[in-house]
Amino acid sequence: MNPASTACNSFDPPALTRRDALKRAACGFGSLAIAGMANAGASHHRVRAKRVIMLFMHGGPSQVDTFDFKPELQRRHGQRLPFAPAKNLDPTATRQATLLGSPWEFQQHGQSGLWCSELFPHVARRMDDICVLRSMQSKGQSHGQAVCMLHTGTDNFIRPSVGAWVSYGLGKTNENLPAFVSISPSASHGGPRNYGPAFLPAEHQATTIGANGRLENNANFRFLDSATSADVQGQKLDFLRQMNEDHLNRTRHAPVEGMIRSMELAFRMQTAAPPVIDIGNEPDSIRELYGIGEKATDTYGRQCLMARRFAEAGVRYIQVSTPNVWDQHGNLKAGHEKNAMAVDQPIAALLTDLKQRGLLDDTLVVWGGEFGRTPIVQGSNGRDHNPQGYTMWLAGGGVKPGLAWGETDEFGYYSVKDKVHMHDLHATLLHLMGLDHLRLTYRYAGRDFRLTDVAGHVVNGIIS
Amino acid sequence: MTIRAPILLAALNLSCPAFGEDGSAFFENRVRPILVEHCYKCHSEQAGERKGGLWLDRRKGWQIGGESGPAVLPGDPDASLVVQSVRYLDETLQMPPKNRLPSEAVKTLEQWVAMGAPDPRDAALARAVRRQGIDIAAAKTTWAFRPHQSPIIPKVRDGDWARDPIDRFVLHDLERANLKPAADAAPAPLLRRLFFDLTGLPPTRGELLNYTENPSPANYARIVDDLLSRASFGERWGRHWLDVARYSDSNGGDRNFTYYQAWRYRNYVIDSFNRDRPFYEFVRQQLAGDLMPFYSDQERHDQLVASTFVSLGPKMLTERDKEKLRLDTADEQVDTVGRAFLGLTLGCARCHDHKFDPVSQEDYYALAGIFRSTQVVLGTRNGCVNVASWIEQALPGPEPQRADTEAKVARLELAMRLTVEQQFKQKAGGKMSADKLPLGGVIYDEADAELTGTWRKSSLNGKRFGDGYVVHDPDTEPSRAVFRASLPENGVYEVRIAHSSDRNRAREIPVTVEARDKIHHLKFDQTKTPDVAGLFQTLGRFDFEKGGRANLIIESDGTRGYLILDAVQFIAVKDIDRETKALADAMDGSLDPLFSMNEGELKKELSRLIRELKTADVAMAPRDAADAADIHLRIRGETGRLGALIPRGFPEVITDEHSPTIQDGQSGRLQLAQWITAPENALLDRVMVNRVWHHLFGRGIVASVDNFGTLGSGPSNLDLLDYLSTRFRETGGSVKPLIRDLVLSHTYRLGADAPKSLLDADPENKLFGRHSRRRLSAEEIRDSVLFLSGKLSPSIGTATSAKFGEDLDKPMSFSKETLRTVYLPIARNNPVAELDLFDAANPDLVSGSRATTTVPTQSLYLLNNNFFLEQARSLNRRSPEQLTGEQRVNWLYESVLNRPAQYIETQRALEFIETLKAGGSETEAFAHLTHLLLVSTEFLFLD
Repeated sequence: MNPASTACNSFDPPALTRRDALKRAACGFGSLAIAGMANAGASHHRVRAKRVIMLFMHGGPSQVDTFDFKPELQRRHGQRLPFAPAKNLDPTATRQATLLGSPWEFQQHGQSGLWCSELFPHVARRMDDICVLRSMQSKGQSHGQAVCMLHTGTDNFIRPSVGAWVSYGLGKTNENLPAFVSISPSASHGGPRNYGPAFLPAEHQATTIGANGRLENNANFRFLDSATSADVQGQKLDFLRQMNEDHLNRTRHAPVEGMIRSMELAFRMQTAAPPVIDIGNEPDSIRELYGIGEKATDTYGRQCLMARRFAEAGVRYIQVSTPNVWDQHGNLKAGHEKNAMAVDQPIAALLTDLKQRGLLDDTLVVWGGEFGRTPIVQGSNGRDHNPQGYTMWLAGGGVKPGLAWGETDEFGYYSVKDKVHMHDLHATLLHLMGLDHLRLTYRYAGRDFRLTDVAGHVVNGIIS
Repeated sequence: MTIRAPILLAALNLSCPAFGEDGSAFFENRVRPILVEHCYKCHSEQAGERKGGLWLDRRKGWQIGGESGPAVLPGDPDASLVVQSVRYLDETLQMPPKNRLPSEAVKTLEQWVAMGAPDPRDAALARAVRRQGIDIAAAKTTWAFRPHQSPIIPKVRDGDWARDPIDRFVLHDLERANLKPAADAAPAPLLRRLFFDLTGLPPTRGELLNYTENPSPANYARIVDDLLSRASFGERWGRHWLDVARYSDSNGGDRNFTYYQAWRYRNYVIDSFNRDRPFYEFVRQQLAGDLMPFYSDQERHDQLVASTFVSLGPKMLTERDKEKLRLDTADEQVDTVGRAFLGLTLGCARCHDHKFDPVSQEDYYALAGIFRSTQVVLGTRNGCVNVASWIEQALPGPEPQRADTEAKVARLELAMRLTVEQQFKQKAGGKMSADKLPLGGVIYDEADAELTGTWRKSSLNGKRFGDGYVVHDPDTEPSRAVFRASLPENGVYEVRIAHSSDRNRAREIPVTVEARDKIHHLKFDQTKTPDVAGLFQTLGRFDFEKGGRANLIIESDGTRGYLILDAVQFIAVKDIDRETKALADAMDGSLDPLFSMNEGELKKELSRLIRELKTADVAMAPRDAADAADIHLRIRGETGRLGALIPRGFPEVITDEHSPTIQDGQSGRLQLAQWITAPENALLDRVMVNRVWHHLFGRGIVASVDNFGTLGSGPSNLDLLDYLSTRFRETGGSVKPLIRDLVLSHTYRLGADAPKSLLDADPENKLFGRHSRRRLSAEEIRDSVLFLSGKLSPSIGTATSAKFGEDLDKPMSFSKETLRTVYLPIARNNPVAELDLFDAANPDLVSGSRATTTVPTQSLYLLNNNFFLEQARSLNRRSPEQLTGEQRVNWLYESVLNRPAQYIETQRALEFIETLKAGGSETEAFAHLTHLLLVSTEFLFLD
């Protein structure tokens, strides 16, 4: 680690007096980053979103089948694409670029009249809460690259994840819980890299629960469960405390103090976390709202409900991932129907629930995949990857509700108007959380790194 | 970046923009409004913006262009950056950045460029777009880059204190600051420190007593020599190097395939430290072992295994743009080599000159060319064309096993290539072979051509490709045939035309090849006998781009005689040898059945071969690529945007005069290996001795051990660094004596406690006036707990990754393992709690210095993971029988903490035992006590 990196993390700390040690420890856990960060721009402007819930649709849902209605595509179904397909596609696409109209009906919804296809009947009723980004653009034609781009702002380098940056920039609001939680993250396409800290201090990585889109019934944070009885555990802790205090008194070594404090925090977490994780106490009406108990929606419903509970408890950045299921190179009709069915009701429920608790105003909900899909057919019933132009949507947290931002071309292929590059989305997300993406930096290997690298513009037009 | 010569300007008339009235009018009425509305905001003097170095408010602006070169090539819209960018088809090149122009505006600009880009705006360029250059000459004289120095050993006031000149350099700095070094460490903590630092394990009770009863210098020196000769020395110091080498047993990246053979490299590293392989040989073997001469099988074995270093990095194997995959792989290698050996962040110069260090973008591509010319990735790992694999080489050994393994490796590569080619053919059209002829590349039959004019179908001649062919008879209507090929990858291809020959055939046939770089016009003669398989005649070699134009046009104009149109073949030059051999094999009936397999069969064979080879004697070694050559600089690092061709070589700042010329066909790694270890390159020695110092003293003389650049921390004792580097070079790069000298120094034997005056004056211990406490590493924690419980296996681990499957994505557990941690698999993107929680190196990155973090999960792990309690039980079972409670407590303290228990501690411990005993057994109560000793801060920290 570069010694200049963090003021609180200087790697050969001097011995301390006990008072010094306590003072120092105050910036050791709670808001380590704000205190320790020389370059961060914490809360430079009004904070619009205190927390983020990222609903990650792994595999890449199709924009032209969900939120980006393209009448011209429907009309010219089966015809050749009248311009060149993206350069990096399969060479076959260059030879047989035939358009595939959407097999689903679209309707306008609510006051805003935003379009949504019949794949998302529940979300359709919440369109007035949603800001649809129809001009997304990202980098990476394959999942590995695009998934990393979405999560870390780069398609090929090792960089900290968005949640780690947020944790580093803002620290914790609840000292007994992690700042960044990832619910059932994928092990593939970069796996932990997508919620990892890279070169940021390790405490900024996500604490995970569940994996690969699955969440066991008794899922818990790692090592929270103990086989030893509470009574014996208590005796042991007392003894250990005494031993460690003695050691500290002999050495006056700050890291020893840090470890002692960290142990105390761990045991508070052991008490504080399980009630947050446990959705068993939620009333039936809420469980039904999320579709818990229904075969299709049970898994994602429980994940979304858990996300809301983490949000309430003060976790800064919460990600909920589907399994890698949205990748319909073939079998588009059945595949997208199944996937949408699994998440539609839970997502709509999450928006409703956050709103009725007054949490939606300062919670930014982000929905989307690593890329969209081509309007060109693959096989007879499939679509290839399309980072050139696709849809993500935002809700709450200071974005204009009921707005459609940007456009793709008449086929939904290339983003052409008010483009929002992934870097721009990252810049905007940080902005809404009160962080300036140009000033949230970390020095590593002789360079100041940013989530947005050398790019990114805040999309001011969508901020309410 | 400096301006490249605007070569194309020669074709323009710069002095006289004499476009017709119409041209100027077109510009004024149609073009200028577009530029003003959409472009001036970022590219004009009035707006004060010159993004990308480009001005569009004057003719000279787009003629000279910006960072990417001329923005408009009059007459050639397709090649003009302005037109490319407004077309919006390339994600990396889209203007205006947020909104696509209306299609009429795009057409207008295309039309304007096509008509020669008339532009009456005469304003001059204010000044050249020259960025401040890098002062290489000055950089060469700075502390990191200058040649070896021989600093004078300083005089000190307290001459008796120094045991070694090293101590004089340290004491000199302390005395200059009016400071005194701390008191010496007590024998017990010193011995514990020495054991952990040299072997990663604690001393036994016996070893402790041996020293504490006789703490003489001679006894200390004897123990040092003993520790240096133990196998556990290499296991500890090899691990330090594996951190630097970003060692892993899996790919990470996007697909976490198991690197079955990586362990050989791991063991080579451990063995190298144990046998004290000279550091320069160690470096050379890792960079270019596969290319080095050898005098024995053992030497060849070590060299091949060592070169795994090049291949080990994380790769984005599913990258569809295989050229980008190669460049990204080369980038990872350049960056690793830079940090590992030179302490330089060379990767920073991929997109632009290094902002802070004397490394230009040209320097970067000179090195990247060496690694782009090194083959690491190829084919497909799982039968899917988008998922690349990597190469392996058979290791030397007894025949016939070696030859058999080599044949299997070759077959695997062949199966990979055939799979890729077959899948490509299925999607893109074209055929692969005819009449069981194992022809390579992509073949288009006459039916694939667009035919105009009069062509007559025939199948008369038996020498033909497929069922038939078409003929253009003499004196009929002029005719043409167009083949539009799709090619699987960028590169040089040989183009061939199939025909039967005869004296009545046409000669002087006009043939046009539309390649990447230009359009070639050639003549073809069908009276000649075809040279390939008696069927195809070679036309020539051309450079094509994947997805780009690859058209072949055959015309009858001006020919006499019969013109036969049967088939055309595009074969990558690197595949020609393989084809030649396959054709010969087909003749004598020994052709590999792989050639006639369908996709499913190939896929099965592929995974069978991978399975078979995973336990075979092969190394994950790279080799020089068949297309080894210089590469183009990439503008802003984008694969598709070519700058000047850069000759391969070494960074100018450390090269004495000139880099050697590297011939096409060789990568240049061998030259790189020699250059980097040359005695003139003192930087290599500085970086290495600093790494060793860092591990023994808790902080480098240059604290940023992987960064000796401007933004690194710089040396806190430059003379000491120079003295050690020169001494290291003089011993031939021998690491063991260096470590021996350092641990025998007085500086190393200092205590960790110090008077307040010293702490206040030097809080970061930059002067090394005391010893820095450190927490045990992840490996030390696990290994020493197992060591104490008697469960640690003394065996050398081998292919431990194999049992965890084809990829290392699933959670792995070490709970049943008893080997030393260094021998257990390291999976990228799938960290094991034991390692991850206590800051083991991230195998994605070069890590010369691990972070030490404190997170609550560590405590939960220490208390709640069953591992510690289980080991505590075993440890108790090892205690002598018939001890009193008091004696037992003392025995535990001596075993775990390497010191006797104090009276009050014993009392407290016995009280604890009494309380717990009430609810369970005394044995279990002692296990709980031992558990606490094992997770106490005193055990976890080293004085």
